[in-house]
Amino acid sequence: MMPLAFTPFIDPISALFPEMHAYWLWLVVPLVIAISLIYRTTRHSDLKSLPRAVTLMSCQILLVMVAAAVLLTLLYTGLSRWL
Amino acid sequence: MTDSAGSDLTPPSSPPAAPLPAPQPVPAPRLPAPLPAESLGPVGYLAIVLAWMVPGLGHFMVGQKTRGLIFALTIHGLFVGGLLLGGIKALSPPEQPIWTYTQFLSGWPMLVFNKVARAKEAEIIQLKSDYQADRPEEWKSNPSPEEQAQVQAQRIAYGKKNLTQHPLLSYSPKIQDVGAVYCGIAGMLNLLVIFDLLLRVTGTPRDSGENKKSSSKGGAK
Repeated sequence: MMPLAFTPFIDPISALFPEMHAYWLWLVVPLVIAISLIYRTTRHSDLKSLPRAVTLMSCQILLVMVAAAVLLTLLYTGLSRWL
Repeated sequence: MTDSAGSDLTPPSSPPAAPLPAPQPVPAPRLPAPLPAESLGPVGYLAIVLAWMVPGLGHFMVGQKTRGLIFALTIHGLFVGGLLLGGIKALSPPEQPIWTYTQFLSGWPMLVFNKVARAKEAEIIQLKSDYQADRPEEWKSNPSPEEQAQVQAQRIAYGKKNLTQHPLLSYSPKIQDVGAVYCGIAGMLNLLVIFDLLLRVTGTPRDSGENKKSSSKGGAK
């Protein structure tokens, strides 16, 4: 669907792409990259090593989030079988 | 017990023949003295205020141009991304006031778009009431399956027509929540940037991971 009256920054983008809610979890990735970029920029004195540090930190955060999700899923599955 | 130099530190079992000299008072470890507020200076205060108003501008003012550019692009980008995702509904979500406070930390983008959102409030309420008033009614009690299907189709068609004319009525809670989070995180990151600027302006040494590594290396030598 393509609403003609769509105004960017005023109307939500879900009016243009209603199926977007199915992929909302992927929106975490740019957020994590932005957080890593700002944090690493405040901490690094030499900005040349910034891209590597940002990539590393982003991967670390995402990996920990995935690991936490897997752990919680396993815990939930185990508990629901046990109870 | 021996120290790093290998000397014996255990007290002797027999008393010493001659009285030991009085122990010298050990100087207390030097801590960085708290900086007086005056050390900020008018330029420092101005930089802090500008850093809140326009993310990244404070670093520009103190000569950290590359850093300022990175901060400005990232924080503005994050805020604009959140606004693009959730529209003005992403700002000041009524059920989660914590995001409102954090969104205000991002400075001018929130100040401007909050005004726009407040101006649109009346329009949204009017649109919603119009939508409810003209909406095809639910089926009455004990409808036949054909009647049910017909009314449902009418309601779906009505909803789609309204959404095409007024996209502001679109409701996708997950996407709007993500939009609110983007704008809120932009504000919190701006707060981090302001603290970083404060440390740079006052010249306060930072106990960063890099410093710790270098000091531990230095200690090993």
